[in-house]
Amino acid sequence: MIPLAYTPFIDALAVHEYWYLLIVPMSIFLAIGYKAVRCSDLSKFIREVIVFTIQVLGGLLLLAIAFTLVIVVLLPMIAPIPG
Amino acid sequence: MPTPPPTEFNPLAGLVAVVFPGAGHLVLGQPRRALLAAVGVMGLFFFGLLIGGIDAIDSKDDRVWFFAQALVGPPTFIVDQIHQKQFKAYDLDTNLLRSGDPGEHRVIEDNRPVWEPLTYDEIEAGMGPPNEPGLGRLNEIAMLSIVLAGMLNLIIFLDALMPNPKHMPKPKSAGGRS
Repeated sequence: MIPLAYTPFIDALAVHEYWYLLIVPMSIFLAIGYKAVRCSDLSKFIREVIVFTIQVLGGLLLLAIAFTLVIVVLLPMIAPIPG
Repeated sequence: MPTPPPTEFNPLAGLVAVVFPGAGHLVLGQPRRALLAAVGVMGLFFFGLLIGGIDAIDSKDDRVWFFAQALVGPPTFIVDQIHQKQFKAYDLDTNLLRSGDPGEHRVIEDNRPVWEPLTYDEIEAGMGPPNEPGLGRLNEIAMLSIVLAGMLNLIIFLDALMPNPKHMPKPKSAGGRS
């Protein structure tokens, strides 16, 4: 819920339930800035930004899956919780 | 393996790049790259401020984060100064400069901002500290967004200082060929 007195850029935005979605705009801005200086042919800029964004999001998704497996599957096998 | 093209050193573009993200590429005659670089860095910067509010930049309470955020350049220092001077005040008990808690309001006493507790009626009337700080994970994501902006700006600064000759605009030929 956003309070009535919310002031953009001054108060924090209450989006606690959707925190994981914030990675999407961050990845897009990161891709725009990075490809602005690393893209040799700017006519392919949009395509390269889309590919880079998907690579970042895909990499983070794979990391999330790997860490979930470690915590949910591997760790209980190595050190089972007694009781 | 082909030899990489030589890189030219351009201190003027590097100096201008420190002033504002992307400005170095304007000096290099690459306005489109300059605009896109500024959109990337300032997009991350303002996105962080939108999520975490002005509390996302704090040179006193989040000093280590601030070192990386400072790589964005003057925008970070300006926002931090506004945060420290306009939104923080002194605790009457500890005499430390801090952000306000709910149920307090900022007043100037003897030319010094201090936090004063509010009455129940004043809280009901909507009074409180001038900003609502970000908490927990959202505050971390907001600070991280501005840190990413700073690290991205470092890459852009280095590219302006030592530009890739392949990216430089081709000089117009005197023969009039288009």
